[in-house]
This record gives sequence, structure tokens and C-alpha cells, in this order.
Amino acid sequence: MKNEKTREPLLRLAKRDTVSPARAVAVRAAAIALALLFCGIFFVCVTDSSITDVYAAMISGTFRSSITVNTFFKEACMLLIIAVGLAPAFKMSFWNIGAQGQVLAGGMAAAMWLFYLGNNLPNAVILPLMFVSAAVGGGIWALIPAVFRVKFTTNETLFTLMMNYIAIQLIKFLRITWSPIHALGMISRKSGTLPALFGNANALIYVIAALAVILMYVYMNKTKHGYEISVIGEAPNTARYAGISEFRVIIRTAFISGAVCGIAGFLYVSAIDHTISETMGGGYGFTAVIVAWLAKFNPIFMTLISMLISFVRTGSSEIVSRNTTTLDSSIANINIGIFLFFMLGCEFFLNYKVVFRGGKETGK
Amino acid sequence: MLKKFMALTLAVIFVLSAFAACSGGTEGGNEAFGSSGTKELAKSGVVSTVASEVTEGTKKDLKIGVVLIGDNTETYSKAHIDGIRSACQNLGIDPDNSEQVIWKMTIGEDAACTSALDDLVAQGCNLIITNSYGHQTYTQAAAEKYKDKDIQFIAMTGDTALSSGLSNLSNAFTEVYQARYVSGVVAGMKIKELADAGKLTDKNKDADGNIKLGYVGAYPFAEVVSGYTAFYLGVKSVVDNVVMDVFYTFSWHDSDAEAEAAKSFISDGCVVISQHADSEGAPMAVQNAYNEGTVVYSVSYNVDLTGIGDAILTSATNNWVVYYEYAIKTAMNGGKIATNWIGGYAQDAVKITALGKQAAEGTEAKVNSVIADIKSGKLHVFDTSKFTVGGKNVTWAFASDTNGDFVNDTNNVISDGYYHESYTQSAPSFTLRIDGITELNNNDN
Repeated sequence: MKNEKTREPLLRLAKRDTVSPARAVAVRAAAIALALLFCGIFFVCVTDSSITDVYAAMISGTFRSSITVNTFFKEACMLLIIAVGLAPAFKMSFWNIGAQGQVLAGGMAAAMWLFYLGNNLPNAVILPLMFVSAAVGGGIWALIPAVFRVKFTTNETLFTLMMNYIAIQLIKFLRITWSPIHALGMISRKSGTLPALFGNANALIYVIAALAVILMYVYMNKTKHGYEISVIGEAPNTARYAGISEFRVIIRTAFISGAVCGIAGFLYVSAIDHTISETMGGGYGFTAVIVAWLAKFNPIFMTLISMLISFVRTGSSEIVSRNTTTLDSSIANINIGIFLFFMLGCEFFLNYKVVFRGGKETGK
Repeated sequence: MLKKFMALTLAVIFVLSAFAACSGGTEGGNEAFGSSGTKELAKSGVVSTVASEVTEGTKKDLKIGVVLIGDNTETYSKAHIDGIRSACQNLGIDPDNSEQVIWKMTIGEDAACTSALDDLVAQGCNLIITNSYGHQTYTQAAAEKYKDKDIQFIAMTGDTALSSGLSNLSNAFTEVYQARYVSGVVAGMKIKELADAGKLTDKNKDADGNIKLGYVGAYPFAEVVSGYTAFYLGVKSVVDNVVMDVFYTFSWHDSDAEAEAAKSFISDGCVVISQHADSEGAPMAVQNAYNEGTVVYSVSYNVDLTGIGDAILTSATNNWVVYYEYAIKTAMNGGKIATNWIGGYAQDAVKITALGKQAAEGTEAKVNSVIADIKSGKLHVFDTSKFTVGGKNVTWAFASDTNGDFVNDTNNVISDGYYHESYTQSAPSFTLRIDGITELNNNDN
């Protein structure tokens, strides 16, 4: 395909041949190590600590007490649940970047029950209602772009993105409706709080996250639905030829994807935030996009990456706490940014290589 | 595939940055509305006297955790930071040593507050302060969650400590309405000087010849209503024929909206524009108009803004160090911090900042005599003989809301000829809409 008349560029990108699994794992491990190293170096630059102090602080900040350990697992689980929700949509090449909006929509649906009937219904009634409404709410939020995609071939990336902003505005509207003085804090009701299990208030979050991972793995790998998803994702024409209804599968999968994100919204309302706000989920709807993509929808990798990101977050928060006069809480986001940058970079270079002028495109 | 991947990556980057941009700005806040308070208290008198006498218990090592809505770049939080730092230094605590004080800045009024509080507890803090009104439901939940630990929580400017029944939760507020009244006196002196010198035109007056004032308010809460009413009455104590318009921005910190409101007041002919909002938007707009020759002055809030220019007359402000020193000292001595703390001029907890160059002749002497009268109890800001509601003098007003329906329902707090502000709780409760003041955009009332 090379055009002889144009000058060959100094650098260009070429698709790599398949990389051996062992090599791929080694490259990824190296990227994680490099990412953590850079996070450490970053902290050494902005604080007076040595690099060993930085890592010691990050580890102790995460594992020092039951409070910090629970925070670490809670954050990892929430990120994981959203990533799990995104996985089937991505596998189907349905680029759902509306997870944030689906979390908010689910949260709003759950919060409605809490706000209006939290004093009248017992937990055994209201929690299932909140759970189901949240799943349906999140599902509908993903369903709308899916319908438009199959009916009018709209771009689902933009559509799901815009749905996020609609959800944000609806949340703002509800907050003002529910608190005429513009001061909606925690919604304090007699019921509607997820009960503690074995004395741990977060235990049910862990259980739901584990169930979500297992069920989604089985759904995607062991069922006919899962097979249909991968066929449509990889070869839509084959799917059509094989008589798979694109309409049905896309609609169904988008709904399931949104529903899982909606369940994350339910957990925020019933177990974590106890209210709704635009900041619900702290932007995990977007971080999860990268988690799901990086992990190639593999549940074990999704779990590992979620835990690593949670560790970077809690560890960074500890460093900030020790240097509060010079650092502020947004440092954690910078570090997660560094981490994701390395991860995405690593994936890129596993798939492509840089070829210098005159170099060969093939070969190792 | 590459194209899709790049498209996705770009989309993600776009989304992340858009989201970062829109989630970055948190609205600072310290509003107050009625709640808590009991009838017994209303009968028995002031909620909590300023405990200059610190209660004693077993002395202990203190580790202070501070959760702030903003940081040093925002005037409301800066005033709290300065107060806590000074109080710590006065008591031999190093505010820069993270073994003694942990600062959590720019914490929103959402689940971030819970995370910050959990983290402070995990770090072993035993005195934890949140500085925004909107933090208080989270602070209360943390106080409930950790009530078995030896930790005292303070929800600054809050109003639920008493009704929560939690012994480890406190509220505190200053009687800043007194300082607003005094800042109104400064404005009144200037208006009188301008009127006497014949510098006011018909544009500065309404159809009945009343001189026009403008006020940029954040939200229609008791705290703001109490503040602008006090300011107006301060002006009126010097110049009787004044009227004031209030415009709400529905944000504690929105520089553009505050500037726009001020410009609108200026074009309407308002002579003095004051504010209860945390940016410099309105004062800057006033200064710009002043530079172009308009007769207009600004009375600001929180910090000394006379550096902006001659149009700035003064600012009403809190002196938070008074409370923080009290609270920290009480905690160090193992005592119980007052559930509702209140302090005004008598405790040196409020003040006005330095007078601007253009303040009228004799303002300083007048201000000092007003402050002396407030301290001695001779002058009450909400003296019911000085204002009317619907043309009538007021003899009955509820102070606070005990059942959370946003309607005040405790006993009458008008007695001895004045409205007893901050009577059943430390947060302000004054919500009467008095004659002479017009709210331009409050849909709730």
C-alpha cells in the first residue's frame, strides 16, 4: 500500500503480530510497576519524603485500621461493579460511556423510594423496591441510546455521554425539589439503609460485587446470550447471516449493562451516600470504562485493576493527610491519572509498535 | 479497530475532562435554617452562654481534624483556617504538624464529607470540625457512627446538635448580624454625607424619595435574611429614608452572578451595595463603576477588601479564633464543648474590617459608640420599634423549627422590645421580611 512518491515518515505505527501471553503479562506487570514508581516519584517531588516513606505511607494508609481497609475494599468494589456492568456492552462493540449517568439514574430511582416512603415501609419491602427500581432506572438510561442506535444508527458514544448530563441536571432538579432551601444533605429515614452483615456495614457491597462478577462471567462465557454478544461485537455481518437479531441483542445487552450500573447507584444511595448528588460515584462511571477496557472484560483482571486503583486512591489520600498544608485531595486523581496513563500506554504498545523510517513492519 | 480505539480514548479523555471541570466547583456554604431548639430552652433564656470558663476534665493529647468546604483561596474557608491556626498557636499546637492537625480542604457537601470524616477518625483525631452548613448531616451521621469513641464533632454554623441528642456533637455560630448592623451604620454615614453634599440625584431615589440600596444574597435562608435585615437597619439608624432590593444568586460563591447583580443595582441607581456571598465579584463591579464616576460604594463580607479601591467602605466579618480557642481548649482539658455556642461583639467574636479611605467624617467615632451600645445591651439590632412587617409592629415571632418541616414553631422570641436572635440555637433564626426591603427573585416566599 506504500505510495512510492511520498516520503516515508520518520516514525509510524504498525500493528504488532500477536504477542505471546507470557510476554503480554510481563509487559503489563512492568507497566504497573512503572506506574507505581511514577506515583512514588511524583510524591517525592511534591513532598519532602523519601520514596520508601511514600510507599510505606501508602501501604499503612490503606491497611492501618478496619476503617481504612473497609474504605479500600468499598471503593474497589464500587468501581468493579460499574466495570462489570460495562463489560457486556463493550464486548458487543456498544461503546457505553454513559455509566456515570446510569449510576445516577439508578441512584435517583432508589432515592425516590427512600425519600418518600423511607419512614413508612420496612427494610424488607423498601430495599428490594429500591434495588429493582435502580436496576430498571439504570437499564432504561442505557436502553434509550440503544434504541436510537438500532433504529436510527445514531452514535451511541455521544448519545450515552449526553445522557450523563441529563442525569446530572435531573439530580440537581430533584435536590432543589427535595430541599427548598438548597441544602439537601443525607436523607435520614427509618429504613432504606442496607443492613450490616457480621457487624460490617460494607459486607453486602462486597457480596453484591462478588455476585456481579461471577454472574456476569457465566452470562458472557457460558450462555447463548453471551455468545450472541461476542458474535455481534466481532462480526456483525456473521451475526446477521446466522440469524441473530441485532435489535434484540443490542437492546437486551444495553439494558443489562445499564441495570448493573443502576445497581451501583442503589448501593450509593442505600449504603454509602444516603443521598443523591451530582458527585455520586465520584466519576467512577468514567474510570470504570478504562477498567473494563484494560481488563478485556476478564473478571479477574477487572478485580485486580479495581483494587490497584483503589489502593492508589487510599494511599494518595494518606500522603495528602500527612501534608495537608501543601497538598489537597485532588492529588489522588492525579495519581490515578498517572496510573491509567501507563496502563493505556502499555495496551497500546502491546498492539502496535513504532517503526522508524526504513524499519520493517513485521517481525519481533 | 485502531480508529475505534482512538475514538474511544479521545471520547473518554473528553468526558473525563468535562466531568472534572463540572464537578470541580463546589458551592461553599454556611447557610442556616430553623431546626432543633426546645420550648424549655426558649423559656429558660439564651441557649448557651459563651463559655469563657472552660470546663475541666482529664487533660488529654489532642489531634484535630478539620474538614473545609474550600481552601485558602476562598474567603469563607480562609477565615476559618486563619481562626483555627491562630487558636492552635495560642494553645501551643502546631497547625502544620500532621500529628496534631489534619486538614481536609475542598471537601464537598456530599459523600466526600463522609470519606473525609472516616479518614480523620481512622487517623486518630479526637476533635473533628466541619466548617460548612451542608456538611452537618454527614457530621451528625459520623458522630452517631463513632459515638463509642472518645471524639467530639463540631458542625460549624449547623443547627441539629441539640435535636440530635448526641452528646459528642456541637454547633457554633457568631452573632455576625451585629457586625452587619455596624457595617450598615458605616454605609448610612456615607449616604448621609452624600445627601448633605447634594451628590445624590433623582436616579438614586425611588418615587417616594427613598434612597436606594442593593444587596447580593446567596440563598433565602435565615442566615442571609438575618444579615441583610441587620445591614438595612444599620443604614436606617443613620438615614431613615432608605429602601433596599435583595437579589439571590443561589450560590455561595459565583463571581460572575454576583458581579452581574451588582451591575444591575448600579444601573438602577443604588448608592451602596452590600453582599452575603463569598466572592469579590460585586465589590469589583462597584469599584469599576466608581472609577467611571458613578456615585456608588460597597460594603463587603468576610475579609478586608479596601485594597480593591476607594469604593470599598468596610466589611463585616467573624473573628473565628474566639470560638476555636474556646473549643480546642475545652477539648484539651477533657471538657464538653457547648452544644450551641454563640458569640458577638461582647465576646469579640465579630467585627468590621478597617474603614476605607472614602468613609464619611466621624464614622469611626459613631461606629465605636454603636459597638459600645451593642456590648452594653443598650442597643438591640432587631429592635421591634425600628421596623414593621406589613405596616405593623411585630410582637410575635417563632424562633425555630423543631420538627424539620422548615416552618418555625417554637415559642415567641420577641420580648423586651426586640427579636432575640440566636436564642434557641446558635444559628440565626430571623426570617421576618420587613418593610423597606424587597426580595427581587425569591420564589419560595
